[in-house]
Amino acid sequence: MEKIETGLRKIKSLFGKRALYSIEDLLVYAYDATKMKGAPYMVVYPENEEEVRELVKIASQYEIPLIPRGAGSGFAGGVVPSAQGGIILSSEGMRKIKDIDERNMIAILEPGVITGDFHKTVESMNLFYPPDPASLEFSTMGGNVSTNAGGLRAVKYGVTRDYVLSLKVVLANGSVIRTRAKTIKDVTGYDITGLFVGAEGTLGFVSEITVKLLPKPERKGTLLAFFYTPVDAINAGIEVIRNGILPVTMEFMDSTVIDLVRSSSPLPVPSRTSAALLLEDDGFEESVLRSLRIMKEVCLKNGAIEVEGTVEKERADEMWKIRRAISPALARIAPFRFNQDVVVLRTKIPELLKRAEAIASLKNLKIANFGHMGDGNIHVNFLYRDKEEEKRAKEAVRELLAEVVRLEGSITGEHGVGMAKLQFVKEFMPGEVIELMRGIKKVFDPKNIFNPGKLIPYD
Amino acid sequence: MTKSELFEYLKDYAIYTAFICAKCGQCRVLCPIYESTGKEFSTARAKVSLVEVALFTHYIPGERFYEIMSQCTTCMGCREKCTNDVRMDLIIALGRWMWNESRGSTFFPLLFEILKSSKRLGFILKILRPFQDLVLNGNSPRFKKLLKRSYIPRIEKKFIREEFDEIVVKAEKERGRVIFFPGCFLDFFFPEIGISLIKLLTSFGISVVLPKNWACCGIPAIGFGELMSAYRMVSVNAEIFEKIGGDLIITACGSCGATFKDHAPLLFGWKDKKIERTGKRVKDIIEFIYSDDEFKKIREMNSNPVKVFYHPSCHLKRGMGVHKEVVEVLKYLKNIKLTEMEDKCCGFGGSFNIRWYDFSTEIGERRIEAIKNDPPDYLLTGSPGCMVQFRDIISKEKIKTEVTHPVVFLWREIEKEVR
Repeated sequence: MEKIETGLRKIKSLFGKRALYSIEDLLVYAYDATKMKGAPYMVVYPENEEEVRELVKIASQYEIPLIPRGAGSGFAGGVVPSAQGGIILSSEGMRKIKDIDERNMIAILEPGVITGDFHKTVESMNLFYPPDPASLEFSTMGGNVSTNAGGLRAVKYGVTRDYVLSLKVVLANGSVIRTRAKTIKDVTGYDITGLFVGAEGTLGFVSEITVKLLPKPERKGTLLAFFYTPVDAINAGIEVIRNGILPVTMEFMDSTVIDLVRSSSPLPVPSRTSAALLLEDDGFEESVLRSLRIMKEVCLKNGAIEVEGTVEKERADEMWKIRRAISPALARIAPFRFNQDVVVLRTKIPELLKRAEAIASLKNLKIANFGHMGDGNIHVNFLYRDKEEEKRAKEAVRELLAEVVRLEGSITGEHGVGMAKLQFVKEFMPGEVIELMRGIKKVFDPKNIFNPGKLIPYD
Repeated sequence: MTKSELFEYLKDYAIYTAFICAKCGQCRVLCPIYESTGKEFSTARAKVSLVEVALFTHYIPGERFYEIMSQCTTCMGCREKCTNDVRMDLIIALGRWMWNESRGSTFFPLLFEILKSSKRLGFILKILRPFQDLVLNGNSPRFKKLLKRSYIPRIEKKFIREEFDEIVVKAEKERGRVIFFPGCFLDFFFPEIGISLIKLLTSFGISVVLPKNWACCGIPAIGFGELMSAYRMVSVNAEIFEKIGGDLIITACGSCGATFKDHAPLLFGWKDKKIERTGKRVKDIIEFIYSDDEFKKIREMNSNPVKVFYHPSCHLKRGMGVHKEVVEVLKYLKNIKLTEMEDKCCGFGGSFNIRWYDFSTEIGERRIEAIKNDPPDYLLTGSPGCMVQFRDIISKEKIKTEVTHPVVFLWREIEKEVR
């Protein structure tokens, strides 16, 4: 304990006013978007890589854990201090967009840059950075990299990993590495960059990010379709892709969800519908119009009751309203829910939905399913109102994850492991793979300084 | 209602909030404080979680607690962004109240006692008026902080009520009748707004009833976390308006309107149905003009070619839900070149501006960027609070733009036509 106190004193004098340790400040950095809590020892705001290095050296010498933190908007407790405690290493002091290279189509950023701000900046230059997690208005690029954030556009454009070219990382021994050249191609050796994307800050502190950019698509087309059954909807989605269109977005809603948001729908909701798809494609206007036509035909051929496509922004916004209304609407029927972000292959979604509903009815719980059908990432929500239902919902989550593993899917497609899913990793991930992860962690961070108690199960 | 009754009610509300607030972080997106600091402690979820801790643990609010709580302009941007409809503004008011209680402050409750009667306040201000120049132009160190300001609203010579002979200002061909609640800012510092409003309404056949006496709407007390004082003010007004009865109540101050329509019913409406009923009768002046087709005649009138920027006041837009109405009504004028400014708080925030003047100015200066290069003729806004802020910054930056209320501008443009 004395050792830690000496270290903390040194860090305090290193950061001066940019180290906070009043009880109020610690409480404010004790949470993320889960309901988990744990107060850190201190919060520091380094403003450049050099300061991070100094910090890491002291932390390493005195064995004080460091918890890299962006916006604290994660759904897995990744930035909540674990039982080991530690210092919050906030990226809120590193918010500069260092360079946007229009001709090479790359951008160099500090980790604290807010994703939405970055979107706006590049789009004003007619460039495009596709990953768009729901939290983009406030989450940071560092956080997006560390959780390999997905988003609504993942079907066509992929996730954060697909855009990270190179990283600069401060390692636990205080050295700084560049993981890769900033070029599109580079096959010298292992994919070290890939290791840090989605590492949840357990391997080092990402101090600089180089991402690739795309040309900004000219137009967007949006289509909303209602189906008799979820199977019809999912078949239609798969057929759309088979007919030559890889949509930007392919969102699915089940009957519970549709009932809830009926009033926000811009087109009449057919009474016998029990599934809806929201599709979006982008590109040049001619091509968008053509793909809207094809998508509509395919949907109708696969049993759609009601379809409408548009390239008008206002109408598209109205269609998106139905998707955005889901979360608040769910909160109205039951105040709490366990929101799972499971992933399976597209063709297995109907089976996943069937099993999820069976679990819910066995446990006598309300369930709502929606999400990114295009990438097989379905948000299964078990709703609950009180302690008693919460217990049953927890059991339901466990059973659902077991089913997902049986369907050869993954227990988390977007949110990550953090602390929230640690026990499930232990349960459902092959022991050999966990052992490998522990080995990797040991290579980069032998003293377990970076974000201990997250991602990798021990004991 | 006793203090403990109100506290218990708010505590229950905070328990409910603790459940529905997912701590997702969305609340920071429109937050002017977070825009400045970029740090977690400035977010609304931070404030909510500190109040939770103060309510449900043995933690006693300290100096830093107050610092964090006081850094809020009450713009309600957090509320607008929240998908779960968490009322952070109420939780923050509760936090400020808890801090006051823990220190047992007496100054503000006393001050707010005066604000309970407009007659009394008017009387006191009349006495103070001759001295204001002495104080504000002098070099007293006590007012040094105040003197950093380039613009301070002065107590006017003639209050609204003194401009008109009767307490009911009758329209020539009376079509309808409304009650006008001026509020402190309008009556004592910006009577021009009230006078323009009354002249405009009466010339379109709407008679205006001016209550003989009223209380401050209560928003300063809510801002300073003196919720019992606020309750007393709100009750006085509810009582007065029930007695006058019937008609619509018109406000021209977004902050007063938001208090009547939104804050007061939620804070105190459960105890006193009068407060709820009063809230339902309140309309902003521009909202009223928009709803009355007679005013569409303005479209046929001649007006000067003017360049106008409109700043949506947070209390008017988010508190009263009045925005599109203002834009539409301003467009009644044929030759107006109207630009809507970004939907972001000017940084005033009443108690926030007093406690954190430099911080507040910094936010305001960011908003002024939009007009700096090519200053318009007018910068209009529906809350006198925003007017004070913009007038201060504009005179500091020596920008030649007149900051005023839409109704003043409107009347000025059509006055000749109506007569």
